[in-house]
Amino acid sequence: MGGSLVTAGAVALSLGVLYAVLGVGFALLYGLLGEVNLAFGDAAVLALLVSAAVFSATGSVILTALAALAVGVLASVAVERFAVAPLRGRGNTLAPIIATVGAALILRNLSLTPFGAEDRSYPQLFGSGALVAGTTSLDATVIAGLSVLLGAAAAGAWAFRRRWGRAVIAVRDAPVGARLLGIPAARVSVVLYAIAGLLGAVGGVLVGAHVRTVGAELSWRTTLLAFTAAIIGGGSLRGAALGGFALGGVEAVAQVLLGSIWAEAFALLLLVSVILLRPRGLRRALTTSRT
Amino acid sequence: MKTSRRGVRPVAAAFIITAALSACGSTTSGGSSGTAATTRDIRLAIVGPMTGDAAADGQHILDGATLARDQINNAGGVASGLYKGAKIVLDPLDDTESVDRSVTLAHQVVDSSQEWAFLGTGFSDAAIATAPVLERASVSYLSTYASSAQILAKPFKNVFVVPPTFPAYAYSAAEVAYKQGYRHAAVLQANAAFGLQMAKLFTDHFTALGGMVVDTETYTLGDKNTQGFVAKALASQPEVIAMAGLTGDDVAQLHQIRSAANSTPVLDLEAVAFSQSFLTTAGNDALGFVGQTPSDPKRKTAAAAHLRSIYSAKFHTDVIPDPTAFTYEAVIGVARAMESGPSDRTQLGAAIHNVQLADTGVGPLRFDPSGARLGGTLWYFHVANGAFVFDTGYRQTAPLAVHEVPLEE
Repeated sequence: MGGSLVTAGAVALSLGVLYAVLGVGFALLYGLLGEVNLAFGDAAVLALLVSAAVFSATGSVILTALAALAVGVLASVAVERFAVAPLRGRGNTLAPIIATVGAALILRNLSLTPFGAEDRSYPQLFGSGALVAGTTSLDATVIAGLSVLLGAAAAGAWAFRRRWGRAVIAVRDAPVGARLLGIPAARVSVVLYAIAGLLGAVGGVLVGAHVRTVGAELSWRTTLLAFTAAIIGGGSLRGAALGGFALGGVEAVAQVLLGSIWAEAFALLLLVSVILLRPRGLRRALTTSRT
Repeated sequence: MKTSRRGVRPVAAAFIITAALSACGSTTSGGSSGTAATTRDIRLAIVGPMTGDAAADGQHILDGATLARDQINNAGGVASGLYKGAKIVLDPLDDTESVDRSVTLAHQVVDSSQEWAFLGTGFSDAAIATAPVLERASVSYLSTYASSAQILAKPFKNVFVVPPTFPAYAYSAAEVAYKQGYRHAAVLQANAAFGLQMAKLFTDHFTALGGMVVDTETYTLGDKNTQGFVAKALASQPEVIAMAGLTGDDVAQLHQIRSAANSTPVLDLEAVAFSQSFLTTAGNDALGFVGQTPSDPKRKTAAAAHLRSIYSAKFHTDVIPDPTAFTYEAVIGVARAMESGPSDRTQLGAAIHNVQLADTGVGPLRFDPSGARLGGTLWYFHVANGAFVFDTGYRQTAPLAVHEVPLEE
């Protein structure tokens, strides 16, 4: 039993880090703009597949990482500009969400057209070293993911104490008032989508480096995981990170102690439970801050 | 900082609605492939997942049909009989890996009366659902990838399974594992009909031989999140791990096994690893991996050499994927059946039952009265130095019997 707990803990940490990064990227838009981007996973996976192609062509880890980040940002900003922005502020909250579904289908086909549906290998961008824990391993993606989370937390803490961060809060809480005060709300939205795309690409790259085989079919599951982590966390950035770790923990316990077939059921049970019992998410249990 | 008063329920509801909407998206591809059809042409519906996650399987099915079509048409069409000179025309149809879509396409083929036969489909679930529709209309159905014995569970006259059926794969894999001295196996099975059935057959036969399955893990098909259940399987300390899933699943699981510094031998039950993309994707993790395929690139018969040469000329490798090999055989078999001059498509099934080909390039092709292929052989290989090294073969001599045969007949 002790060995199983060590294994479950290692799996929980491995998955939790990945889900936390994805959840924070998703929550950035949901928490700060109140917008749900269902093309999030497709943008991340497009970035992942492009970066895989760049690595196979160049073998350069730096170019691979840069390609992923660039595509992630561009795809996310394109979703904002062409799908969400034209529908924003028209009083229909569902229309922008549906528009992101359309954007997701376009991005998915952008992935499928050049890369096909076949799985392809993804390089060990963070090195091949792994710490064996029980009957599994903690690979370098855990360290990389934790570094990203800490970096994002530090950057957030720094930004929200400055003029630009306060502008974001103003746009979130009173968009009309913010515009009257001369705050460029549209630019704020674009920047937030760019950062969300960046985090999505980073999360996608971490997933790719962890599972080592990637394909376009990952996109919907990536959106689902990010959405679930964000909802469990109540939409705040810290909450989304917490939600990601909670989601990873639940999946790990289900997989290691019960059986893999229960993992998704338990994850969805967690999501439904939070929606029913704590509709504002888990964040209230640990924090009252949105950031 | 102020907390939001927005709840998550409206967003969750919207998410569920849009998820349902996005799941509804599907595409179809139709239209004939190749030369323009005339009334003498033999039209064949080539069905498979041409788009979506399993599009590679659909493409492999179409590749095999195209190879056979070109070979037959370049030689002047059907070789003899009433239809001498008739050309083969392919109608690719996309079932989007959906059982419902596959059944719909079967109804369309039945209603159109254009196609002589229905070839392909991907998973066994689709084949099982499609077969009765075609049988009722006496339209021949040749399953060229799906090979569950359940496809032939009813006494059909017009349904044929071109690959060896599931017991051939599972029983031979159990024999290979047992002969290599392994007595404790763990099974990783995809939660789909083919995965579950294959894993059960393997478990039954391995147990009958005297082995023991110490752990069985079921996972969602296509799920790359393999770390937890792989760790659980390894905790049972198996001597060998048998995988019953798709190529991408196997690769992701292999990686987790090897990254845990575990060298337990791995065995594929589904014959999904014999492809260049498997070698590329799995990389060093594939070292020692044992798999099976109906194609032995070292077979020295004239037909085998011919098939390898035309495949290699077009695709620049002699690693012929299973759906390609079996669909190639099926089209060759239909063309041979047409030589006996069936009066219409409802008579084609009887003609196919009479076909006996000594070697299509994949192997001898003939069917028993139930429509199961007789004499199909699975060739076993292991991966070494980034290449497939063939070891032995197993021939299905009866629906529930396999016998070892040497390489290079």
